[in-house]
Amino acid sequence: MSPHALPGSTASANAGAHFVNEVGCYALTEWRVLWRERTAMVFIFILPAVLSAILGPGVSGLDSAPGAMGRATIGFAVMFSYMVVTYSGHAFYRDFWYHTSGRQALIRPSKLAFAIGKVLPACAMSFAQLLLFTGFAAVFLDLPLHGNLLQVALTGAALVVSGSALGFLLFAVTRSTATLSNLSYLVLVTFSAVGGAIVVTDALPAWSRTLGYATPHYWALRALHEVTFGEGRWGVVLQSTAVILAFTAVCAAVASLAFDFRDQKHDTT
Amino acid sequence: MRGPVLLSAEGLSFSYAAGGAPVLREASIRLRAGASVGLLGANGAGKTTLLGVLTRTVRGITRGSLLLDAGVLPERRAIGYATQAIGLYPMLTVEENVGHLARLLLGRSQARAAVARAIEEFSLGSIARTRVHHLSGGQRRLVHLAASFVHGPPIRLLDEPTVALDFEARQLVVKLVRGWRAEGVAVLVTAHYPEDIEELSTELVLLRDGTTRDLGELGSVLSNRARTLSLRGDSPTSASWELTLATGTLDEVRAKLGEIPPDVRLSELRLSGNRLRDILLRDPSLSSFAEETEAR
Repeated sequence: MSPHALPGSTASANAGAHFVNEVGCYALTEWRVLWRERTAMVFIFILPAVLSAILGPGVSGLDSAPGAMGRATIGFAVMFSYMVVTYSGHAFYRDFWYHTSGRQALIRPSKLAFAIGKVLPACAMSFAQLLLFTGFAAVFLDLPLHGNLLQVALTGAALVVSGSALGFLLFAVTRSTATLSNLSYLVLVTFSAVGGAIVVTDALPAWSRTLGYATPHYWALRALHEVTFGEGRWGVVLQSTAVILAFTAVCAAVASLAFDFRDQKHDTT
Repeated sequence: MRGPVLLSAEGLSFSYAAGGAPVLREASIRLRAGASVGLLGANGAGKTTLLGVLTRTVRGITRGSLLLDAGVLPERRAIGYATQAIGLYPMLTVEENVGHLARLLLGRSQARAAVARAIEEFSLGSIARTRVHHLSGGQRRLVHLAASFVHGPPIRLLDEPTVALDFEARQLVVKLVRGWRAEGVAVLVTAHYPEDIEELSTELVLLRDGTTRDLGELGSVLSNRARTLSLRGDSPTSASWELTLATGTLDEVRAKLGEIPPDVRLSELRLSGNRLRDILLRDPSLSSFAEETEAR
């Protein structure tokens, strides 16, 4: 062993522990805030459940097709899991609402640790929602499951991570919470619409279907469709998640370049 | 005794955007261990911006030199900055807010002891498990200070630390700042009221139009200011009164006092049934200095 090996490994171990500590700090604080504010629970869990129960397959164009109710439920779950965009953006804006942004500028944590810690609780919540709704649809709503839960988890994780990266990007390029919220709702509705989360893509005009290819929703639903009604082929699932992760990487990279801890935002309410 | 310089800024110029109006022009300041610099300036003079530039928390065009000498401590551990706006998460308890920063800056192993110390230091024990949104403005200010300095930094910057504090809490802050000085901490403080600067500082820097003027030790600034000698008492109707005998520097007051025949004023007061309660020599205050400075 080289005489320098130990200090080097110790230094990297310390850096790793430091990184984990920063992620943990921000994640714990965000989790406490989200849990106590409750609104995230309502939007991520309760709203899709209520809409699925009220609208069911009626709006999806599936009507009485086999497993239509389960498929509609998955659509609403995918749609509302993208509330993660809003909640991730709010997690960053929170420091401006509560005047804690100056502290981040002084402490200057690693951008990556800060971003991961901030979005982790909202991500976990959306991910849990997707798993819960898919499981529920499979057990109670006759949704077939030809693939396995690992494929569902992989697709769900990729989808919510893409939403968080988009939330980070919207935070980095906007100056007020109102702008971020409006943009994120616009994203939620348009991505869901053209991506096939509300109405099956076959029922959409050709130009809408083309737009849909640019959304993570289309690829997530493609993968989930393969796991449920399809043959559960890993190739389809991996290809879809790779596209979603590419979308994520672009959003995260642009956000990271645009974001500076010393930035000021216009509204702090 | 003046300690070593821990943070030094020389010839700082700053504007928020290229080509924008400069907020700071050739500003200089030195923070020494065991000393507390009071930064005095009117609203809009650039006090908060100067603190932002010293902590590198504002974005803009900066020129000049900024040197930090905190030994082995990294910058994030060396400087604590209590901003003017209270920075706390309202849905979290006092303990959680302070703990968040302690864990970020000190790591998990040291955080618990640091939080306990800060809560005791700022007398927050009775509200430690209360959520911040239930607290009064003054209590929030104390929690904000506790969170800002939970990591025990050797350099502490306080922007308007006494805003919203009641008398007792204000006295606590004054006591703490004096204690920090005794421990060798370098302090920089801004305040709305000169009385606060007077109680919290040992040195004075004046900031005007973005330019600093080092006025040196507060004691020497005040020793050149006017004192007032007056008599205070009660009238036959029990209404209190005050009679100014002389105003000026200590020597001037002595000289004027010598000019008054010793028994003249007192006998006049006695004749009309007045009762003399005390003789008052008012020390010079920074308020009058600030008023004069702003008027200039």
